[in-house]
Amino acid sequence: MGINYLYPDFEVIRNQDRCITCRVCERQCANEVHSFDEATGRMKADESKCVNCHRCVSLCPTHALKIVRTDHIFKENANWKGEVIQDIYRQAESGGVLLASMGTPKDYPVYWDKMLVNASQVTNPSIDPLREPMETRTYLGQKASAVTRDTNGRIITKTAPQLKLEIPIMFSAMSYGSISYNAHKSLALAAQKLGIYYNTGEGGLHEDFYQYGKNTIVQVASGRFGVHPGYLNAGAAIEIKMGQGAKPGIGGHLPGSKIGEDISKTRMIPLHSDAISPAPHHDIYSIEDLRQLVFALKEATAYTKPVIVKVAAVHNISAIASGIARSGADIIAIDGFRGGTGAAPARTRDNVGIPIELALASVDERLRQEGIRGNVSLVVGGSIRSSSDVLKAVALGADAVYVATSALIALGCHLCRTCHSGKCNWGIATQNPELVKRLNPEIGSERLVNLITAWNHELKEMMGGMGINSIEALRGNRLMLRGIGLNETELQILGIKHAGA
Amino acid sequence: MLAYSNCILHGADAKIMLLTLLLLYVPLSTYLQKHLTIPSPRDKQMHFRYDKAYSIGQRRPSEVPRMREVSVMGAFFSYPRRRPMNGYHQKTPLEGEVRIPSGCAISGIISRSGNRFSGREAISSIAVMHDRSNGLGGGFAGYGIYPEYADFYALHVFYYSSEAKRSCEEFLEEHFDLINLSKIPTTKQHAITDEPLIWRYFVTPLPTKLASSQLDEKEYTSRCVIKVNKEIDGAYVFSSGKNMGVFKAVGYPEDVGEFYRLDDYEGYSWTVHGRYPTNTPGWWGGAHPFSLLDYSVVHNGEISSYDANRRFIEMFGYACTLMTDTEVITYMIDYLNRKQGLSFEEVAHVIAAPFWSTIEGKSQEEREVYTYLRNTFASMLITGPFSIILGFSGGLMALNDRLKLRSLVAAEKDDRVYLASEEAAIRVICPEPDRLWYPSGGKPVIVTLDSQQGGQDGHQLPVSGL
Repeated sequence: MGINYLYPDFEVIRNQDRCITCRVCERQCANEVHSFDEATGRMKADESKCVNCHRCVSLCPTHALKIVRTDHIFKENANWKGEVIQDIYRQAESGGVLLASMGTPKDYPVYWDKMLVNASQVTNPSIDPLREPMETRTYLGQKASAVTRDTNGRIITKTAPQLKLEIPIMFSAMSYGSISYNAHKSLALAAQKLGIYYNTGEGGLHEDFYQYGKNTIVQVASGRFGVHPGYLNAGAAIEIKMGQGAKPGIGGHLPGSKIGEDISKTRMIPLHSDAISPAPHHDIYSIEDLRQLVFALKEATAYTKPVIVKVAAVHNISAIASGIARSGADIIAIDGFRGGTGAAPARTRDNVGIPIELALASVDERLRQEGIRGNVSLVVGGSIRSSSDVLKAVALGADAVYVATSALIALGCHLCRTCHSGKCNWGIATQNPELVKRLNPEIGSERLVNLITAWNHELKEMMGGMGINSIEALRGNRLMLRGIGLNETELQILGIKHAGA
Repeated sequence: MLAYSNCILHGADAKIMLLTLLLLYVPLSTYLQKHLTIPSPRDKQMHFRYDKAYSIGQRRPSEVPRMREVSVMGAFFSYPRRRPMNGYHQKTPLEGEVRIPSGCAISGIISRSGNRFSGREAISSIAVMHDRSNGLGGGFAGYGIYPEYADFYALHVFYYSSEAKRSCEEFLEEHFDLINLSKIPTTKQHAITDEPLIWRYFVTPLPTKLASSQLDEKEYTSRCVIKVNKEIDGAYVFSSGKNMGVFKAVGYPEDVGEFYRLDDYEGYSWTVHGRYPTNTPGWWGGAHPFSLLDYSVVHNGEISSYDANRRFIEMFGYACTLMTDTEVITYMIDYLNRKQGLSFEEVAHVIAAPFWSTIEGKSQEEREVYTYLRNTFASMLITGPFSIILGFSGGLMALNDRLKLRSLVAAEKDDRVYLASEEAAIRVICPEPDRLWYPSGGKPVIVTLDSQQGGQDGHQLPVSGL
């Protein structure tokens, strides 16, 4: 073995005065950082294995632990930064693609943080959501373009299938396999309690979760894992996954080590075989093929379920969305490049795609210019971090948002970005039964319900401040936004004015 | 046509008359060639639609979202964003470039039996609410005022230059038979200044052009009106209905009434508006009522949903050239009532939709209809405070926002129904009404002529919305 060029990123600081050598850190760390030194009677740490997930820190009964960034440095170089050098060491060592998880940590502009929201003063009263109704109910699906009446002149009220959301927020796709059974169950329970939807991701639907079908969106991805008529009909809607914000243009790979008995059954693939999702759908090489799949799925479900087409936000997104809006799809989901993932090549994650804010603004405007905005609903995801992000997304033109990373954080995720290791100490991104049971679905779902409920309170408060008492009056209402520190091109694309203007 | 050409004579511009007469002798083929295309406000969008995909950094100027400042308030006005009025307001801030908070006054009167009366009562009513406006905009709409031209569209047009007038008249002649044209008679008022040229045309679509457009007459006419307002610099068609007319100006509404000599007109219904914007001199086109075809809207309020409504309605060929919320309300009503065939009551259930909690308490059939309307036309919900009076052929509708954040009073005596921002504005012209009430938020008061009861909209009358 050659020299190890990599110095640990973190240091585990243990206050020996506080440590009672209860060894809970040792038991809790799946990365095996901590161990008990018989010789000294003290705990010690192998920091090269630490991912900074805070499991030990959170469970240490005496608060003896903290994790700090190492101050060990390379010689300063603005171009060849430490992480660049380390990546080269890694690849020189392994000869492989660098893998990473969750959304990109790079310092790209977050446009949500560069938009400010309006409020009423004087001429228009703000509305107090504690005193007056404040509505966030949203229907997703195609809207009729013309009112039709029966022979008695009564309006025919039958519409294309719709998804009814009490709050314009849904949990976006995370497959059973990439996340654990208990994480899935937490999401399903929470969606049911909140009157919203969670998404199976591409890993099929565990038989235990069919009971939550009314609040489930079932996904059909390029690997077609776990797709059968019962599955398609089990959910409230079907999502065709064409792409994912964190890794546009590439497929997925769930290693055989994670394909245990349950997952193999749910995905309908052999035990311990690698689950490979091809980069494209091999029956969709163009838009007309997508249309065929949309209608095949509608045929399979007797036109009772809306079909969502999910795409990654890429350069030409507005033209792509325009095509999808004419494909028979009911809903377009767009995933921005800051979106999360269980595993993606780091270079793809950090360099491919565009921010969701720009994609959304451009798509919404394009669909309106073409007069087809009513053909589809728009759902956006890719790093929605708070209720104000939700509000800004709706004001830019979204019907609803998808959240995933925020939901995982609510479940205890600490964004250590090592999901691909399968050793999630919080029981979320792992299939190790010992780790999975650390996540209690009852508690998990309660935390999710709390989070979304809290966001909804905040959403209502801000809407009331603007004098808007129903979410549909906020949708696409870009006058309610102003840019801060944005250049002319950015303002143009977002379709907003600069603050003060 | 020849028969009509005789009546063109009085008050007509000689050149235009000559042109019109000449037209009659132009060989048919030349005629058709000349009138080959029909106006479509969507032309530009259509081109864009079939363009190859563009990258987001490279929009052409015409595709860039046009996000000039918008005064989101009902009573305010703004400046037409694509048509600077040459020579006007050069030193003062333009309407629409600044935010203009406002209050307003509105009033409406209708005789259900169709008896016609002059605009004097509307003037008296609005004068009482003088303090609700500030002299920067007033206007009237009268229905039934042009019985002698009842079958023709009456176009009232502001011109800010003789060039604008020439272009507009050229356009009108290409698309309509001009039956009569004249200046609208006015009497100078001390307080009313800077008036543009104000012309009136009674027109009917050229039959061949109408036929080749394959549009119905109203759609054809409305597209022409929108096209003039959008594309001809310095020309603004502010009234385009049949047997009705809008009269508006910058000034106090009572002065505006005198200016337009409303004593000389008799209608079966009148609406009137007094405006209270601040900060800028108003623009004549920005005064209320806002009108398209037979619809006219006077509005007190500031709608917080403005840009959601605007961006939605512009998908259907409307162009919000004035960037005021009242304009968008007018277009939404035109779209819902004329194009989608919704009754006025159904229109009210879209733009002032009941809360979901209210809808849930309804019978199943009603629940389905209300849910359908709210969901299908979600982007036409209006939020924020408003009271509006909609004028249409044969009736009036008054509507409050669903929280009733603006005042609105209704009263009834004999065959008259009165609607106004304040009770005083009713009592000044009708001291002892048979009944007087404050309509609830979101509940429309719809009044139609007795002769129209059971008509196409099927209103439950005499007065609904108690």
